[in-house]
Amino acid sequence: MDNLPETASAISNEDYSKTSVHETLLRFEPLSSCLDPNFWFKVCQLKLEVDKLDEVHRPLIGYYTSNNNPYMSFDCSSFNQEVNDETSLKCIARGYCLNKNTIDSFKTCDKNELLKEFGGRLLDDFQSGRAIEDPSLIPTFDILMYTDLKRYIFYFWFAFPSFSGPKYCLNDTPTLLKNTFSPTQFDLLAVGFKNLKIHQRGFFGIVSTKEGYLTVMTLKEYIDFLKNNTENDSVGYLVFADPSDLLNNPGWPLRNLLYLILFHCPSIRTLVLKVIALRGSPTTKFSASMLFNIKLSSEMVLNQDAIKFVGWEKNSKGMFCPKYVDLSKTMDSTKQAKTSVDLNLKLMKWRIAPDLNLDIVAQSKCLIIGAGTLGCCVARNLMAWGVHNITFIDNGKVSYSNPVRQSLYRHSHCINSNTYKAIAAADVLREIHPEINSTGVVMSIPMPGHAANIDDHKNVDLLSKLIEDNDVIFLLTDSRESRWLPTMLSTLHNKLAITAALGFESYLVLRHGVEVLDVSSGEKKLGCYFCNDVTAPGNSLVDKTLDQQCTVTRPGVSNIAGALAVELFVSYIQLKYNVLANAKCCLGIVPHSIRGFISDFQQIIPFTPSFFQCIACSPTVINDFLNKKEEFLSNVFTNPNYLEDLTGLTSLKNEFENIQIFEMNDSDVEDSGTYSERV
Amino acid sequence: MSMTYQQFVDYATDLKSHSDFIDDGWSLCQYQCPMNENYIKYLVKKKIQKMNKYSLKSDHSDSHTENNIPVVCEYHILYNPSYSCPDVFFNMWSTDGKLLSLEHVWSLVHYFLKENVERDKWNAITQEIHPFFSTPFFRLHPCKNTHVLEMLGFSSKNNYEFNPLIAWLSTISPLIGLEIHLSYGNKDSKVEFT
Repeated sequence: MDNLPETASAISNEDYSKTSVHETLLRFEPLSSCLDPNFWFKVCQLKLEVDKLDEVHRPLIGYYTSNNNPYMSFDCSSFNQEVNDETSLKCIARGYCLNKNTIDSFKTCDKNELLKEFGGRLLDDFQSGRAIEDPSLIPTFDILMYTDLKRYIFYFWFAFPSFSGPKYCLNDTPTLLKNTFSPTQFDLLAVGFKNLKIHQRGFFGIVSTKEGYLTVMTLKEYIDFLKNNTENDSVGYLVFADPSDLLNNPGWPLRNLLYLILFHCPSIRTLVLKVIALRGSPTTKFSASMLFNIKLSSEMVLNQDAIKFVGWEKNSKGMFCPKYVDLSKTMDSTKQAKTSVDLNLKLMKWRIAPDLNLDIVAQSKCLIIGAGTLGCCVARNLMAWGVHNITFIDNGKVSYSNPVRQSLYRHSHCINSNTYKAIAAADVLREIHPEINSTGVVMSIPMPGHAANIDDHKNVDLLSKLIEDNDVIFLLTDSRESRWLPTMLSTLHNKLAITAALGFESYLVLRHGVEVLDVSSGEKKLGCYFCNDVTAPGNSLVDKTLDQQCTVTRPGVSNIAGALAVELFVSYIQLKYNVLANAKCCLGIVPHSIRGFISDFQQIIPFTPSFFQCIACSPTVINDFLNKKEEFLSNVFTNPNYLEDLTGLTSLKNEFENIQIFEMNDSDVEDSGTYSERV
Repeated sequence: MSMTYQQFVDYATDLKSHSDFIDDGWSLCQYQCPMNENYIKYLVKKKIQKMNKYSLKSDHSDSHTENNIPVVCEYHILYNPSYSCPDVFFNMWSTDGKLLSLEHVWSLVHYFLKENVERDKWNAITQEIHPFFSTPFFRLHPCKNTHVLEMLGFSSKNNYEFNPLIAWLSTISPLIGLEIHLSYGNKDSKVEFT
């Protein structure tokens, strides 16, 4: 709103009132709405718990001040019907809120009709005199809203209803009240203000005696005074708390006040009204207050049907449109969790590792084969790193011994031995962090030497597809032979595979799968789990006692190995390609393998090259799989010695036996890298 | 310089009385601690102001975009017993009730401090849970506050004519979009409120 032109001062009052050409129209600064975040929390709560499907006009309290602030504020206390804080320097306004049930009824309801309805209520308050008894009804407001409680999106439109007519003009240029009032009179004003009840503080009257003594009175007392007193000189002052921040324009509340007072006191319609716009606060004795001399410049329309109303609030672009706010970030617990997790990770980038690429970690699709102790631990650590996509493969069900070691399961999963681990793990991940995209695939890994797999080509294809579709494969099963097919397929699809295996008090974490070219040494790959172990996997579950079939380890070992597997992956993925053993990334080195021994709390990071006769990752095996898949697979599943024969290990062993140079002792055999299934 | 809670309350009361004098809007609030039912005093100011976004150009010349969107700012100055110093929490939201994001708050930092904040965000503004209200607030980490006070020439031994709380607050205020009227620095000069 423009400031008024300051031309009136040169013209004397009398001339000014006669020449309608020079009349300065009084324009009011509109109020804007200002909402506290907790306002919306209360709206949600009331809609869900109290209103439900009712579209009620709920009474509400708005707050405004006379401190240069053309806003009416609302917070969660706006829904209370009593204002107890008499010490507060706020003024209060009473209005209503209408929460529509559907977006359509919000959009299609006739806004002109609605404003007329709001205005009609105001007019009724004015005519009945209720607004004189309780002046907080004068600066009324209405909120039309629709709340999308699923998405936390709010559509709302404020109205500060007022009468479109009559017109008012300024009798002369507004002046600072200081020019009229003495400091003593300011003192009287401030004291009088403080003695008023809070709902009377927005609008009241002042009558002064000839000696300049001021009496502050409520609006009702003042209107009664005006009705009994028609002499021009002693009408006193009409006072209102002015939220306007424009020097020569009073705020919106005056617009309704003038209508009210002229409606009830017809005798003063021809007079010049002295209006004090209170500005500042009682502590500074309202020293910034302005004095407006106002008179009516058009007829008052009193025919009820002819009265028109104005007051819809403009949006931020200055259009008469509803506003819209999306609070999902602060109100939707799922999104809050996501932001908090992300922030926690981002803190690492602030100082410790500014070059850390978190996006690539978050985007990585992780396949966890084996949802046991290691699988649970790996999944939790991946989640902590902000990974979004996790798939589990497992064929087992949760048993009573699992929950204490396998951190994703509960006792309830074991009852009636009904829950598959892969499914339970995926569900629990979503329970922990709803933004996770987790899936469980119940499937047994086809294993060499297990004749039951002979027709299991469907599972081979499914596993191959899953490995192809993911970025990193965690190989965490508890038998040696179940690692064979995933190892081979990871090599085939050139995917990073991270194997973790446990002994009683030792662990191995190893990366393989991806081809690494070392130009200087000519090494093609880093060794896989089988490269260091020169026997083909057979059925290790045959002819074993229970303690030999299960993984018997110290409980902490799996947590260490699982955590290391994830950290190895995160370090690895920071580098783009050809990650040699012990290559350096922003987090440190990326070892090829990590072996640890809890008995003496030692850890080493050896590097082993790939073995050209390896039964899992050598080109001979891969090519055989590619060229004659069906035949190759049935050979592998039925004939325990097939892989050794194929890769030439059998003949190599025979050579060894013939040469008999070395005498191997027990400890040499133990170091061969077969951990989990080792006796 | 560290201060005791009683000193903090004295300084806060002094700040509040000048604020009343110039209508600056600070109030001294009380929070009842649920553990020992003691009342803890803290300063609060809530203000709607139009704020500019400042951004650093690549050549480090300052620039700001005049978008002037009204922002509601709420400032709380608490006493931090662990660090024995004042501790500022603040929140900002737009008039539709939407809280500003941490990134947005960083972007509001005055341009002459911008470069330091960009470089050292950890020591600048973070988002934390308010100790009294358990809702997220922005916070200037207090670990440097005693250091700031010492750099300003305050030490625990001496009594100063000047209020250390005001000195500290006016030092950090550009970081958090808070305007401290110059008259706080010279309280004898009478200030006209306009």
